[in-house]
Amino acid sequence: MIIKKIWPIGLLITIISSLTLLYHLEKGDRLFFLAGETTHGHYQIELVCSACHSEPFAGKEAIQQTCESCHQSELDKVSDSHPKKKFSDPRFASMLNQLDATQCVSCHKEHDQKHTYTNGVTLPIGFCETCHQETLEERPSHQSFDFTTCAYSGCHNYHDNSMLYEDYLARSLNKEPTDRESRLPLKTAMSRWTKKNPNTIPLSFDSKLIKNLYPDELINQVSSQDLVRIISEWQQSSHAITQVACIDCHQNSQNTESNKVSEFLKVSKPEISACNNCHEKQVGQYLESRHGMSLALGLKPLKTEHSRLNLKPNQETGCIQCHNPHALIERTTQVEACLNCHNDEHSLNYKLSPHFVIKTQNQEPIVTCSNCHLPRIKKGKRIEIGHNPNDFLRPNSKILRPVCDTCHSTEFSLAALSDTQQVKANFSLPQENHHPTYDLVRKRDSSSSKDKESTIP
Amino acid sequence: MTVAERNDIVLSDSKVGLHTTIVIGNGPVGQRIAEKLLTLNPYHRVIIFGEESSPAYNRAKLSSVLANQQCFDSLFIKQVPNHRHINYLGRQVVAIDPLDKSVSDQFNQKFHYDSLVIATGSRAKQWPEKLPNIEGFYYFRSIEDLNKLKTLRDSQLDIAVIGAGSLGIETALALKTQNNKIHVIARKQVLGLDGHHHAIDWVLSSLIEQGIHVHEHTHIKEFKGLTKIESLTTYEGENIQVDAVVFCIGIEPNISLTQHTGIKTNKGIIVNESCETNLQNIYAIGECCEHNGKLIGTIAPGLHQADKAAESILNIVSHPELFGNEFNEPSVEEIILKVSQRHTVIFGDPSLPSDMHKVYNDRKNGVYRKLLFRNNRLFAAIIIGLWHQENQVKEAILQKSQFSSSVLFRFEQTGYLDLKTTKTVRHKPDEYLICLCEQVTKKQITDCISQGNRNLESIAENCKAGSNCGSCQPLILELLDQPAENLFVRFEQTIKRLSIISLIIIGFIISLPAFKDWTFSFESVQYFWSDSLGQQISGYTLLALILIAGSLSAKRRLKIPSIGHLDSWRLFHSIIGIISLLTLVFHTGLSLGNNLNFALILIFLLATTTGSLIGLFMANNHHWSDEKLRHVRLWWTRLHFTLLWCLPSLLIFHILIVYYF
Repeated sequence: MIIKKIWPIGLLITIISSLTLLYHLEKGDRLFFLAGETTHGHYQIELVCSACHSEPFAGKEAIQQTCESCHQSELDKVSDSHPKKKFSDPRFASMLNQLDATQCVSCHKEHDQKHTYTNGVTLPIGFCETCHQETLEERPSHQSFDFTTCAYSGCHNYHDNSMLYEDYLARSLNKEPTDRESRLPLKTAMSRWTKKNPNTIPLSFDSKLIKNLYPDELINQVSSQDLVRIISEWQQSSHAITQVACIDCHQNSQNTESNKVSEFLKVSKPEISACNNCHEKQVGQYLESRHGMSLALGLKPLKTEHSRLNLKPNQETGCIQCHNPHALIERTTQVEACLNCHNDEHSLNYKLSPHFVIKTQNQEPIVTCSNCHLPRIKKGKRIEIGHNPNDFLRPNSKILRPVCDTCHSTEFSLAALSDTQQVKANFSLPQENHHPTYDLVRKRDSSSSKDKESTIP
Repeated sequence: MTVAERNDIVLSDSKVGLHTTIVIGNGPVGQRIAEKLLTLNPYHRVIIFGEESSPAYNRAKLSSVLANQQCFDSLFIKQVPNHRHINYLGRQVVAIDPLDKSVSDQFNQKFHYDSLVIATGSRAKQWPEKLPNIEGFYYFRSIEDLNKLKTLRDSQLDIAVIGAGSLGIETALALKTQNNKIHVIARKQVLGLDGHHHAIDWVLSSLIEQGIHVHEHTHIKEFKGLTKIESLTTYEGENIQVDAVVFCIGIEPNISLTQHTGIKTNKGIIVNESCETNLQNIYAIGECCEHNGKLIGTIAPGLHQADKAAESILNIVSHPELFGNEFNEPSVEEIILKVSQRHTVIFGDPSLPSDMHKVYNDRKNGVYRKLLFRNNRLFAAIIIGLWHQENQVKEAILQKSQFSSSVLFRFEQTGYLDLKTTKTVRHKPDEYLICLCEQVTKKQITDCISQGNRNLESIAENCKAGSNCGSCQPLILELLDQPAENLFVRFEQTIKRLSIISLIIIGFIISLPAFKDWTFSFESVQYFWSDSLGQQISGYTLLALILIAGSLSAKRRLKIPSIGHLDSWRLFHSIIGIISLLTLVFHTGLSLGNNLNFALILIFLLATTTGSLIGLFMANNHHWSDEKLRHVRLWWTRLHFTLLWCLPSLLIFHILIVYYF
């Protein structure tokens, strides 16, 4: 057949494809409209458009609001060096003209992975020059530096400089690189609970409580080997001590009155809400972390093969993936749970690291994965364990004060953290106790306090 | 002037240096060599001897004259009068003396020659057994026979035609009147169609419609009659009452003259490539000669032999590119009949063994087409009912063409062959689109030509064909029988370079990484792909450029011939194409994006690639008389347009979602 005229067919193509696209936009998953790869921070939730784009045609301000709704508290916590309110000062008007620093997306453009640098920044690496040209004149010590090195050599961060100001750095001058006597703070939760409930006897399977709850059927199935193991594990765990019985976690939200054991075990694999009943704070942090962010938006838990990190496939995130709910063995949770998924050089080299090799008398490593990445933070008398690893990562200087400082001098830690090879090797390479930043710090220290340079980060 | 006196004149002329060629045989082939010799050499004299007293005529037309399909005068070959050309009619050469270089006629007159050409053709095959000495036996080979048969037909007698070849069938049809009975006696099958039952059915039913009785597989035993033929009996036990018998049992080379002359013969006179016999200066051409053990039965190769022989006589070294090498070129046997108003054609020899055949049979419309293949090559075809592709089929048989199974499958479904080998627009069907710009079909143009428009200008004025881009003008010129001049695309060099640059830019866009990883800084231009406003500026510029580029199409569509020559628009289109590609580089920062954006950029790049290729193609192929080129370009253009038509919806949504999200 000879197609005599192509435009009616073209018009048909246009109409049909437009309607298809419109349907996809309104009713579909909108995957086709995803303009480009999202950054490492957002790719897990990229299909929930409304997480950032609150409503159609909402404009820039609405997007700024959604950015702040997730990230503002974090920025406040570290006293953001470039907060939005700083730029409401009319003196900055001319600078705002060049770079609108009141908008997150001015520097962190999304869906443009090809033009994205470290930490989700889409500006070329010399962007500090836009506003800070005078630094070279005012600070003679910085005259030999290039603007491309400000934010990318471990000296300054745009937002979080809580670990990089000079007074803090100077504090650990001339310290020994490693204090071999120092120990991690002990966990306090359990001791606090027993103090509060002094006369409580740990639950056991023979307890009337359990029997009353599941009289016959559970006992009939006790012969099942798994169940025997699970019950004995549970009996030794802190859950038994703190009076947490099977039913407290294995709730069946649909059919709470059913007490048929088989159904009960099958259906009521505990959901995060079960943990949330008691561990609200930890769950909250977890949901803010990379591990839980997809869950927080109602998506399915992240599967490792969908991650952009180098992870072992066919694993999932979730509370019980790291914490065996019956056994609650620390060592498993702190090392093996991590290595179950994380497959990058840093993780694989952990067992070469001095942190692993040096052991306590109990033959347990002194410093585990989670001791650094989910550190024990002192809050008054209590010790809390962080459940959002990202609070102590990117930039990695965030880990200095809460973690490294416990045992090491800041200069030693800073030198190790700024050496990417060292980080990959999980600190198993020999490490000098010297970092160039400290040359500047020492120089300042030796001069009189009157000549102190201002501490603009 | 007596014959002897005229002969003397010839001899005396020969003495003054005229080369004399004697041609025995006054058929089309003899006439052809005479004409050739006289044109090529002004010092040549040709004497033609014709046995019959009528002027030179074409024997092949006798049966159609008998059937009143052609007029009697159309038989005769038109001759240009020439004083060096002597035609002896009604004189029969009876002897050749190669030693004396002379021939003698029935009056025992001698004629000397410098070269002799035997073009005696063939004669009707005689009945192999002795015929009873009674009246009523006819042959059909000459004008004399024609006149006899006309009389026979007028007498309304019952006639038996012996032989069911094409001549037999034609003769039978021509002799049939409303009141007589015609019997065709076939030794095997009609038209040599043994084994092709459907085709035989078709032909037989057509013959029966005409009132002709065909006796297949019938062998004659005896002719009976007292003074004239009354009946014939067959070995099959039939007794057929007839008043006359016409023998159409084939032809044989007429070589009786060569007896006792030393000229080598087999079935015919044996000749070499230049048609020379074993004796020097004696040539044989046409149906009487035999080359490589083969005889010829049609007129076309005979004419080529005449040309060859003429060149040899004149010692012209043959230039195949000038004269063609047709003597060795295979020809296709063809039988074309009209049986009961039904067009019947047989190409090649269908009785040869075949290993595959394809049939299209449409009884309702009176169409039957059978193609026969050996080793996947077409060697014969039986065609009943009109088929506009007849010539192409013949050409395909000549070239022993192969066909793909899909083509043959479609043939069996539709009855048409999708042949790509057609070289000229004349072979195209009436509905073939010649002018793509104005959508004018071949029929519209031929109608326009027959209304008296005989040049490009008036055709363009009356049916718009060729008035726009002009690429079809060579085809129109071909329909007009005028030589096609070369049509150049103006600015072809520039368009070519621009197309190459476009392709390079497209290659860069696809292969280079995004600007981020480049060593040199793009801080000033990165505004166009990183900043929201910058992106809108570059994006809407790109949109505007695409719309401007589309004006080339709009110019064609709206048919405004006044604004600039189309080639200028083509140049403009190429330039806009390049600018939009560069704008795309800045709009995207060489990042191809994902999903919708990726689809958009991919389609845009494909569209610009096809556009560039068309530009390159047009710049490299100046004229469009070649059908194949035209076809290729048409498909590229369609691809270009189809891709472009995918853009609007994607563009709309690309722009929409920027503001939506």
